[in-house]
Amino acid sequence: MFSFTRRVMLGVTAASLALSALPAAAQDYPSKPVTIVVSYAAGGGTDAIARVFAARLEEALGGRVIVENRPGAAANMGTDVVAKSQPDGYTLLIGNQGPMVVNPHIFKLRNDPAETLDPIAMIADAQLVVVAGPSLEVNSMQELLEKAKAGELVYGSAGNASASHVATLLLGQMAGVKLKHVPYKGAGPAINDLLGGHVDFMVTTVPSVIVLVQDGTLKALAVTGKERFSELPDVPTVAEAALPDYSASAWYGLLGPTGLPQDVRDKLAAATAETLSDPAFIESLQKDGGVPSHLVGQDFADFMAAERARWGDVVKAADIKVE
Amino acid sequence: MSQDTAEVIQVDVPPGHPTSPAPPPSNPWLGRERIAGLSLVAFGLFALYAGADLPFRSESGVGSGMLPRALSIILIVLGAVQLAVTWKDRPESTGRWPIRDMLPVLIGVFLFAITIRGHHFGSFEVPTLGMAVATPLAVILSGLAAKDVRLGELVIFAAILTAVCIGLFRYALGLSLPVAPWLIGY
Amino acid sequence: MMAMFEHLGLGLSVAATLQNIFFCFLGCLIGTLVGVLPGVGPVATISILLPVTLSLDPTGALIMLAGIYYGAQYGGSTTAILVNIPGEATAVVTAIDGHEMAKKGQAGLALGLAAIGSFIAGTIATIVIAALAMPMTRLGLLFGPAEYFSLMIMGLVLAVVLAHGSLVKALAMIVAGVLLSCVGADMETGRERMTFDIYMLTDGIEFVVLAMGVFGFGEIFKNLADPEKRDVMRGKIGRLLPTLTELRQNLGAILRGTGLGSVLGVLPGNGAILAPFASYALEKRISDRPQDFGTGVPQAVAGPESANNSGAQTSFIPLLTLGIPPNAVMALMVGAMMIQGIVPGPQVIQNSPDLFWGLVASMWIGNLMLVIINLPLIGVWVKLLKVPYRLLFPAIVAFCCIGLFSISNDGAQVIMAGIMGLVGFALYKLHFEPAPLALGFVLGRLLEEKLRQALIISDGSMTTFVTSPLSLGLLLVGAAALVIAVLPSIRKSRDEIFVED
Repeated sequence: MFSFTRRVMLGVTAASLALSALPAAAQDYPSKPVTIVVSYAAGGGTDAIARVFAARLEEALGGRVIVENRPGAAANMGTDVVAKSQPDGYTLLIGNQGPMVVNPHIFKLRNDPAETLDPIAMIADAQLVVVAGPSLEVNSMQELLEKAKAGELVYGSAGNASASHVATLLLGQMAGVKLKHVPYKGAGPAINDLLGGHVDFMVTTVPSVIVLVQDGTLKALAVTGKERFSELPDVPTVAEAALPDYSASAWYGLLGPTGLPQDVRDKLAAATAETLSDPAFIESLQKDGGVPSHLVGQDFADFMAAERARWGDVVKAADIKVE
Repeated sequence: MSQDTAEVIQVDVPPGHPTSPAPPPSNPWLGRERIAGLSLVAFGLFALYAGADLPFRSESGVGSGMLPRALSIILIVLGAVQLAVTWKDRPESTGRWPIRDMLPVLIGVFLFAITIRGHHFGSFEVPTLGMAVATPLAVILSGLAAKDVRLGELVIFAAILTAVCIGLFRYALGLSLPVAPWLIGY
Repeated sequence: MMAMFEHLGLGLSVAATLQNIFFCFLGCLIGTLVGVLPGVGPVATISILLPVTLSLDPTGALIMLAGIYYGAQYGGSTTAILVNIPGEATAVVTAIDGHEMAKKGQAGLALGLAAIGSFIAGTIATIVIAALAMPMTRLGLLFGPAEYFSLMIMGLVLAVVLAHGSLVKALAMIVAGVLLSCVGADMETGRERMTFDIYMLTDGIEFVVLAMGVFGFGEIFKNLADPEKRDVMRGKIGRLLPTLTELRQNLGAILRGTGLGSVLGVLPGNGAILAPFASYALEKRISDRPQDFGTGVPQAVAGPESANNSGAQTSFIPLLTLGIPPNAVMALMVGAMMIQGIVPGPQVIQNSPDLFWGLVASMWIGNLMLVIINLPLIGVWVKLLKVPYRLLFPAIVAFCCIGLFSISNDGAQVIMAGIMGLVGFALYKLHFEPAPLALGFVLGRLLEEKLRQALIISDGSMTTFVTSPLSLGLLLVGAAALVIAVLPSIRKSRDEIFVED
């Protein structure tokens, strides 16, 4: 709100200074650095995507873009920070499916993302992969589910309510089998215990296991998206292999507080689209198992609403709820 | 063991060794060791209360309340043991608790916390003042806590330190800390 | 054996180009800086620098990032020794005797031993990585939740040894530390525990907040309360570097620490944090004068520092051989590798041996670089202590505040640390030692996590901890250590009561 120095330097008359308190018009947006809030500490997967995205967005937008980590409150802190900020386009959020669509079913939220946030554009969609440990003698998704029917299998996840956890919950529910969940703090320790045979299988992000799959240490049984993954062409989707309507993925999108001026929204959506067509960005997404997404505005909002309803059912059926 | 040289002043005497000239006992009927035992019991009871709503057992065996409750009880027991073991000892004073001498530091830390990014107190709002204001506030206020404070020196030092901190944290390390949003926009 | 030296030769030829040495130097320098500044960790720094390294060649980028990692490990001990603020869990141990040494005017000796010990440890750990990476990997995989739980129990027993005062009080501090680690959302159900609906507690108490509060602010309050007792360092400074005799006296501690660190470093989920504690306990156990530990014993700095550094080094093993990052910094290294188009894991050795061995060799160069950077810096650090305390402590307050704020860009963390400072002062007044509290806090998280994972897997059966031979063995070692630790302590505390009367 005190950001008028630049204009002073440009020699604009005092009259326009008073106007600077109003939401900036699109032609001079951005006139100061744009902050993108990440709900996780620096160093995680969302943070990595946000930083690469921010670096490209900076070029497309023609102004500084700063990534700010606001971890806390099970990744709900970032939502609160952005929901409470001025809707001027200078405070934005990288949202992913955890805090955006799963958490509302689990936590008492101070700010419901569906009401307080305005979806601008989706950025990426990253599918997960089902991997079996070396000691589990299964070679396909079918065999895994048969084994699970015969006796309870133990799976590891990257954490309670993580994409890895809810994707496995959905798997168990659709197949009608009971699975035993062991939560870990992040995918790394869970994969370690998978290799050591302490847990039987897990659903995890592609980059976390791709080497171990390629050298045959772990067996990739299926990928969770709607299409096969380019770097693992022989691995079927879960839908092809066993459960026809199954799909699950981790996704990332750009959101702002509700009430963003339409022209600022349009500018941000256009800059995001430009970023997503950058081959270097697409390549770095692919390394993370992701593909660029092109859902913008209302389409993105509809997608989020559908995801929220879908995961709500899964979470309720599994009865994970914080009183 | 601590009175060897005059100019070398002992900083903190390891526990269990005699302290240098003790101020008059302010609480001779309780003493340090008994307060320590009572604090443990109090902390244990507080933790029991804080975790009272947590289920002890769950489907998988260990409920979210099992460890906190077990630890609280162990703490209370340890507090009781501490009281029993030291009951017969002559109470030893804990010395001065000069909270007033520390107050400037606490205020400085508090002001830093609310000014660096701003804060809402109901209808009253502290604007985001950034490192350029919060750092000298913290330095000068906490500096006032020193008995031998020299104000001029402290103010100059605060200004230099602020510049160093901004250069170091914001520009050298690239952390996204607000510097002076009211002046330069971030 | 010959093959190993050939490989290291190849690595040296890759790493020792002028450009890579420059990156290594830059990384170590940034790392040292980050380590010295309390609150700013290598994780934040590396993730911020990650996009920058995109433009570098893969070997150079990784060498620089690795330099930041172990530079930070080393830099952290500088702050712990000089101003008693452990920026991370491993530096808690260094602070115990290191800061006492600084107060006795031996800051130079402590810093010098830390640097040289770290270098020796780094050199040996580099050879361990080159020679034993595969068998060490298999060792790491043996540790499932049950084994890890038993290891943590053993670690908590070792924590008793850290204390030099009353046994009951030390135990109470450990239990209180574990209790504090329970605050926050439950890992299995997400349910909030003991948070009183305070938002910032949902994810638990940050270690840095606890450490900076209890140690950093606590120390300042302590000095303000008893001004006549502070500031010994100004009196005498002493030699800057250890003599050969002192080095020889500490060589055993350095080598034992290196061994412990090398083994614990490969364990999943950051087992390396146990290494300095184990080393301290071992040195105290085998010392002729265990009662001196806690009052500034050089071995109590040299051993844990070496253990810390070799653990930091061998924690690269799971990353290099399996592609599994054991801690957050390593996860970022994976990210850096992926951005560069290298997928870490067993194939790296076969597909790009120059990169693999270059990285291994650069670890050694990095350690050398750290000594080169830090030995001259010791003089600077020690001179810093000559700054009058009336200016030194406001500066510490400022650095702590900024560091605390930068953890999650949240002012509440700063206030929380201020309150923790009062707790630290009360602990000092009541003669409680903060080190076991910090250790209990760090191990507590892992302890509960592993306990619950193990019991989910075993369907709630406690026998899982004794049916695994490895787990049983660790528990027995822990029990034995407890007996050995408790017996003399009971006798000792009786002596102390006698002394006080």
